[in-house]
Amino acid sequence: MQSKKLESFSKRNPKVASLVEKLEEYIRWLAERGIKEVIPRVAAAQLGISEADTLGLLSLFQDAGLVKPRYDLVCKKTNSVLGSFYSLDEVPDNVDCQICGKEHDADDLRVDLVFEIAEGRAANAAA
Amino acid sequence: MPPRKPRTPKDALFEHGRQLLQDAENSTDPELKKLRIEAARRYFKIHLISPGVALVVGLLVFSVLAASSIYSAYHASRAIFVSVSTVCVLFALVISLFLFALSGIMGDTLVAKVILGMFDKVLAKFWRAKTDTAE
Repeated sequence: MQSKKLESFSKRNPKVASLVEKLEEYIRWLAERGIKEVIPRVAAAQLGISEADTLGLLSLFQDAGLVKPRYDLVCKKTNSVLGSFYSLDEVPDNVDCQICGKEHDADDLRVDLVFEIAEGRAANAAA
Repeated sequence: MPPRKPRTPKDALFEHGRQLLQDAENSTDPELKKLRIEAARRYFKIHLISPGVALVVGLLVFSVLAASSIYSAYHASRAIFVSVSTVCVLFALVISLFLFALSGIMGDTLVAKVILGMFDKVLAKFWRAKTDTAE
């Protein structure tokens, strides 16, 4: 296991250890393919566990410095990311969409939570 | 009834967080339950109690503490009044910190993390005891 924090957590919680290992393998697999983000919904489907459990596990990975949460503000019409933020408080309620050329409000926007794979980890996996 | 119009783009995300917290209540594994609650709190700013509930609980507790102090002032000696008042002030401080941490007012500060960690440990012990009894 790459992180001591995850290793000690797995030792303390043997029931959850297999899920931690699965998620770590999945993140390594993504990094090896040059993918820099984990999408919780997709990860949950890949691992065969619920999205809630995946998010819980990702919070562990964040504490271990392996991933970093990011909020993407997305135009619903074009599915384009209009901005990325590291805190939910920074996400604006309205935005001028460069793609549609219109000002969007809550009806036209959604916020997606994604997890960036830490750069050092991605580089290790690629090497 | 037509669906409620979202006020901000974050509304759907908050709803998702609330769902996550509800799912956590149904989780059979205490460790996963704890992780889900942490995820809901961290990523969706969903807290164990709302600021409104924290305010009501805080006011009720403070009223009881103030009443105790006033009662001891009129019916007990000066030494007892000072002791009771000191305990009440300290208790009020601890309760305030707990309520601020549980309602998310404190944010991600170290104090909030310590208090939430203590709360999680108490919950985990309670959950383990409940599971053992059920088995």
